[in-house]
Amino acid sequence: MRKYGLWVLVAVAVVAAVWFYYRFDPSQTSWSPKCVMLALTGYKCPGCGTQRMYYNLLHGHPLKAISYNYFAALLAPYLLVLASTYLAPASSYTQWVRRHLATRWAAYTYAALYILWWFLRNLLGL
Amino acid sequence: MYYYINSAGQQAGPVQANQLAANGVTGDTLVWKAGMSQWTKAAEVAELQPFFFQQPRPNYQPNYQPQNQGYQPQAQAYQPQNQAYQPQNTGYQPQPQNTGMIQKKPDNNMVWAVVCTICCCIPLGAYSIYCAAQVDSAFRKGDYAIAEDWSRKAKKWATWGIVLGLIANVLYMIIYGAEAFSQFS
Repeated sequence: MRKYGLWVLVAVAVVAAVWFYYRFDPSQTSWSPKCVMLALTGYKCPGCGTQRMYYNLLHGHPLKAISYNYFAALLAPYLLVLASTYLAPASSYTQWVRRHLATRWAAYTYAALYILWWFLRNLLGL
Repeated sequence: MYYYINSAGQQAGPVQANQLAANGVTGDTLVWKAGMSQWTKAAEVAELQPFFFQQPRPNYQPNYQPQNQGYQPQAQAYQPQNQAYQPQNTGYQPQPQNTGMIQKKPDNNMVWAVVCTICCCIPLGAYSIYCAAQVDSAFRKGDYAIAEDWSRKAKKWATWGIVLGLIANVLYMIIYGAEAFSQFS
């Protein structure tokens, strides 16, 4: 029952997000949320560019999409695989995925890459 | 030379300190020697500490756990005649909930923490990532309850971060979007 509710929530969120990011270009419309950190400090946060990434992905420009946030592009497959284990019925596969992908080393690696990306993108203008 | 209370509840001995364990004495057995004011648990006698130190909790890996059904192999080897006495050896034994069943590692919920750090709330997401990493560490030490606790914390703070981030974004959309819309029309 809980899983069913999660499915509905995810489906609604995905449809809404696809519609919004197909209909509006985040760099043109003021409807799309802007980064608080960028507004306050002038430095990009590690998530900056993901909205433009969706927009370009939905409009068939995958390479341009990736260029807005390389880190999010790298992270997307990992997140999708891991998130799918919460939607799929529990099985030895979902257990295996979580045991091997959601470990403390994954958490440490993610934290290290996140900070590295944060510095690099602001230093190199990525 | 120590006297001790044997499994039948009777005084026995005397034996040398280093022979106590071989006679079925455990850390919880009452012992006494001349000069001591009263009968004391062996583990609490300073001189006997080397023989009855509280063993650190073993590092249970799920795959070898089933072998340790409640008492440790060497304790069994020391006291084959004292089976009835063993349930008192709480100092040596793993936590009751750990015995005989394979523990499942709790989900570290790091997927929500990742989502939180990338699009919602960096500070709460970062703390949630930290909690997620602690789940593994606690589990490997055999602290299952603590691992469960970190797992809950990771989920809780990531969820709060995502909810707060969504609220903030929706507010932003309403305020700035409506403003732009009113200028436009």
